Amino acid sequence: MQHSEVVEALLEMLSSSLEESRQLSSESALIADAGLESIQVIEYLCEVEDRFDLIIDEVSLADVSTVGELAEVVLRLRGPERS
Amino acid sequence: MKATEINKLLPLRNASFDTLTEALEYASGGETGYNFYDGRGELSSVISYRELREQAQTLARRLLSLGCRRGARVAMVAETEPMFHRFFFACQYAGLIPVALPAGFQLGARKAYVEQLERMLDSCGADVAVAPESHIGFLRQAVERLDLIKAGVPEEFDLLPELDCELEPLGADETAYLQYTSGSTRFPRGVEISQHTVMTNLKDIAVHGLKITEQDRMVSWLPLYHDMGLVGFVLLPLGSQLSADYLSPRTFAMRPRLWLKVISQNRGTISSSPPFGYALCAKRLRLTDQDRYDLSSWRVACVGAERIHPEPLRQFAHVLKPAKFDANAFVACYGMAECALAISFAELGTGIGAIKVDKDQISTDGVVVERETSNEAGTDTLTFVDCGKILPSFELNIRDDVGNNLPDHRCGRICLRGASVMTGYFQNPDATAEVMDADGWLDTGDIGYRVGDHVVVTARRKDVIIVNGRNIWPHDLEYLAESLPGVRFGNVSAFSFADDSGVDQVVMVVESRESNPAKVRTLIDELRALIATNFGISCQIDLVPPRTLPRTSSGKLSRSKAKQDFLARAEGVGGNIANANG
Repeated sequence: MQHSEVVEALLEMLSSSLEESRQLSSESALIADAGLESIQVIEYLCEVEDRFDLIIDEVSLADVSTVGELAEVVLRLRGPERS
Repeated sequence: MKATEINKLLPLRNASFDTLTEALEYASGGETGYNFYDGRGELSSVISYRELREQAQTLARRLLSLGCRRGARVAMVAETEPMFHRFFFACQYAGLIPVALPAGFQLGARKAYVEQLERMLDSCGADVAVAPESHIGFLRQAVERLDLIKAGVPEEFDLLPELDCELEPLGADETAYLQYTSGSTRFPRGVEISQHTVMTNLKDIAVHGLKITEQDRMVSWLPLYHDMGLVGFVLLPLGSQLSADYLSPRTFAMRPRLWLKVISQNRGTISSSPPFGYALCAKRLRLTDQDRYDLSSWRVACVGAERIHPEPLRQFAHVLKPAKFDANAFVACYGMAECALAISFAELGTGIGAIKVDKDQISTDGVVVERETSNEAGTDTLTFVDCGKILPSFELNIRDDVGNNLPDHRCGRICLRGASVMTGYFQNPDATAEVMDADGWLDTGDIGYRVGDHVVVTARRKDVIIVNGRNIWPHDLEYLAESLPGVRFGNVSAFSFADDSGVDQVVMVVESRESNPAKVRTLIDELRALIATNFGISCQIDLVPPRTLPRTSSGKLSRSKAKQDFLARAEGVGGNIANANG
């Protein structure tokens, strides 16, 4: 899976969990730009975990601000491409 | 792996011990203990009191080999893992003082979290600090500028040699632990609780509050660095030889239904949450879930930690009625870290007792007049919850602003005295003197009234803002805003107000000379983003001209007046300010 594909999936999930539509991109910050509140962040991460079948650890999250950075974490945790 | 069972072996002793180690010595003669469930709700580790005693004693000897003096502080990042219990009780045996550090997580918050750890480590003067592998990176960054004897992961401590010595556990008059639940993140204050204090509170809770029996089993997802998690679900089960089952707070937040699953499968009888936990759980339930659980064993569902609104609880009870949840299992309680944990419990088995009072009377002169009914729109009454009878080790006073005692049904500051009250804030006589007088009375900062020996809390911590169970100090928000160019120091006031559904809305009033609409918009956006990133909350910004914020004669901002003014402005424009930033 490519970084851009993950970003696309993340943005799609993000827009469905937001009440109002916003213009978002890979550079959008999940909290500051997308406006997720803390409980929504957790709900969103929960969806991300289920969708990509992985468990995201705290350490990785502490350095994640944008959608693109979250996509990098997802790719790293998924490890080498599985067929 | 098998979870520990309920106590079938030991005669029940409800916290009738002088110290925590005495309690552990007794409990270790049985077969009960702590069970940890992972993010998928599977049992991941078990530690019986017997194993805990043994491991804690070994670790105590290893810690002593570091040469710490008696009473030195050992800080531990409190993930919900057996290592926390091991280090906490190793300190008890070694004569060292454990300090739980938060293990919360926030997106993109590395800097804020590391700084928070550093300030707490500095405030308690820690000599030793430990964190699980997941958090060790943050801890190592936090100790860089501090002078600790050792900081590391548990495995590093397991490599230390055992000091060959007779262990001298902490005695009844010595400090049992420091707790950083209360207070601002910028100026952390460690609540100092002695062995005698915590044992008094545990006994009060077990005997008078929860009426614990051998049949009880506790289940919790509460953070171990909070008083309800630590005292309520680590020390209380130990003191009464009960088994306890844990989910981590993060697991609960992501998959709240696992809480119900564990209670259901393990026949849990006691489990507590702040109101938001019940609300979150109810929100995530699916209709098909309702009969998957059997919650008939759940006899005590405490509700505490913030002002209680009955509606979300009713909702929770309603959706889980098919799962045999009994609405009468709800027990309103009142407590705070400054009193170890608990101050009062409502009578068991009676549910949430909502009281309607006349809104005009209570708002204007603090007089409580109960009403049977309200007008059609419900606008002429306020609803409060009876938090029950004060536990026997406390004396209660309700005081007015100048310190006079008030009679029943009069609102004032809730003041307490007794053996469950803290020693003070650790090495902070000024902060201690602000809340405790020479006669040992603690001013809780909470507002409420009494009816005989019952207490009704009407407002918690005058200024504190509570969002989803988190306490946020307005000072911290104001300080952050003042760091932005264009915002001047002392020209900001943050507070919250409860909206129509009783949910706290956070507001920040900021004085600014800016009149260009585009720049005003940018400043508002910047402030909102800054607060969202650092605190994970959405805050409404009210930009006002200079000299709008009310000041006292000494020049200090009056937060309560700023809030009154804001609400008046909001009313003046038809309540639209409340949504102006949307």
